[in-house]
Amino acid sequence: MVRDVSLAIREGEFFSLLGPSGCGKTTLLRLLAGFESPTSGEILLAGSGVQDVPARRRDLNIVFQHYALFPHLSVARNVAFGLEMQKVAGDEIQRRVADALALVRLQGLGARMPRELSGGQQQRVALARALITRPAVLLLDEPLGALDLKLRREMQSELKALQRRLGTTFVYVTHDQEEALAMSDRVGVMHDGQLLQVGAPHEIYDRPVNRFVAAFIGESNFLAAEVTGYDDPDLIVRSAGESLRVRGERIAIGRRVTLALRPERLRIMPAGDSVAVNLLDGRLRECVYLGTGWRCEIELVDGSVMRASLPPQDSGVLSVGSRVMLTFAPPDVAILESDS
Amino acid sequence: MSGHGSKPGTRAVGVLVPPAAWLTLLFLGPLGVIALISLMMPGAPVEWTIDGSAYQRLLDPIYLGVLWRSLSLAVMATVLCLVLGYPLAYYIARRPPRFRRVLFFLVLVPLWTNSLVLIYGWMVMLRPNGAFDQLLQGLGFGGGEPLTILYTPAAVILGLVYWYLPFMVYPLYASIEKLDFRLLEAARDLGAGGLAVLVRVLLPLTLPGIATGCLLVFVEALGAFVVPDLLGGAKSMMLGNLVQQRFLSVPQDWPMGAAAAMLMLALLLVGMLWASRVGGLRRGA
Repeated sequence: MVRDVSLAIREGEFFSLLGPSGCGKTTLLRLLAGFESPTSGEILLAGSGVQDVPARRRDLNIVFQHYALFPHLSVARNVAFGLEMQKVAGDEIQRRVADALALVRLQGLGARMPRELSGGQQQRVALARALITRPAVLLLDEPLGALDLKLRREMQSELKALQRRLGTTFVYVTHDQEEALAMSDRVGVMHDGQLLQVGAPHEIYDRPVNRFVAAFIGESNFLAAEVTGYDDPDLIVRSAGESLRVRGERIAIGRRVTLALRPERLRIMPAGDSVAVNLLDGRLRECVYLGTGWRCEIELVDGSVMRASLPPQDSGVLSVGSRVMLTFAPPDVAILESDS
Repeated sequence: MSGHGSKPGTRAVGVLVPPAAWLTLLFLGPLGVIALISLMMPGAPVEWTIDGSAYQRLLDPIYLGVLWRSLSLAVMATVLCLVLGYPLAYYIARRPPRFRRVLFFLVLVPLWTNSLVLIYGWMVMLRPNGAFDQLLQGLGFGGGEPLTILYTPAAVILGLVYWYLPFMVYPLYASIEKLDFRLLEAARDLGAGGLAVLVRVLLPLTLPGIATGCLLVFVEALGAFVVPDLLGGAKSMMLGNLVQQRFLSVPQDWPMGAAAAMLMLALLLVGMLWASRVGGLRRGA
């Protein structure tokens, strides 16, 4: 189910549809591919409507989640399939299959059967098969979902490099927010059949439009707050008994908002130190060393728990059980309308 | 096996004895007797002297005609079952699981119905001025004359197809149901039209089901004798009828019937070899 989705994907961009399973991202992809038809609304490809164009005539190809390689055909025949359907001459097919296999670094494996290949290799065959007809758009449905973490990382950068080199528009469906942020030019976050936010990875991360996006992409601490005044370019809000400065557009005084704070944007200071703005009193409840830094939980006066990620050198103030102050810079807060 | 001591081996042999005995006693034994009879001289019903003349007499044009008719009717019935059964099996396999069960049950219902009732039903429908005839005449066939369908090869084929369709649908369904339907989407996505999807993806991937279904129907149809006997009349005699007649009707000629039975067995073995080769190619795919 997909509702009220209005989305323009730019030519040549790497666009990711990101959301938890069941959010409608695969449905949206299948709509684009032509396997499903919208009950209402339109789909345009390069400016013209494609509702009445069957999947096989749409100038876009799909890389399926579990590759969907033809098990009865060799790797080369799999890759050649699209060209054979276009009745391309045999010697040209041979040449282009060789090129496509080279493109995905599978030279010399053309005679193998799909089942004789590893997951990563099958993934590459699916990619070559979808790219060989040079479609305007490549749709990828969680293509790396079945691979182990190390291979995923490798394939991520390889896919990204491939997309840059070819200039093909990639529409990439994933539930892995890290993957989406790392690879995409822009990301569309979906939830419950709706497109919540579309933007560059840093926009999505730094300026989530609502609580779902803030929690789904990375991690966020949430603070309930009320707008009490302005001090341009900042808003003055009241939260947990403290007056805080947060950067953002003016919101009517008295409105309830939610502040979203990224753990890595929080700093911890010893209690009593009062040089900074935005100080929240608390008690250090837990601190775990992760190698890349510290991960701490701070219980605020009102009982709510904030998570903070600190760089390794910040260990000086970290004594579990002690009173500390949490602080953050005004621009590091995302202000969310409370009703969302 | 001996390296692991005798115990598991002994147990395995123990388990195998009853079925082996059963097969020997009730299958290989009678088969051997038939094979033996087929080599004897004709008598009334058999002269226990080996001469092999029954096989020579099988080459008589009359019997070759029966053989040819049997083969062609069985092949036609098999092809028709495939053509009708494939879309049906595909349709059922693509329904939601709970509907699949119901539809599949409906396909099997004729198998559980008394066969004579079904055949007499067909006879009533196929006779001149029967329901089938009236339907065809209503559609403008036959030019006003009653159409004779009963007691023609067409009636036999109709009966065989009706009879053995479930044997085709079942293996086809099993094969199609296992198919990853995204493969069909992948083919369409890459530009394949309906025919290309069918020929390039669907049929090759369901070949084991096709081979098994064809084999089952062909085997059954080739040996059929009730359907040709009741629906086909004298002019549509098949091998099964020949076997039955030589054994049971006057003048009895057991060696002849046995030789025909052995010929049928040979044909079925060829069919099975073919099906296992075709079906085996895709194994593990």
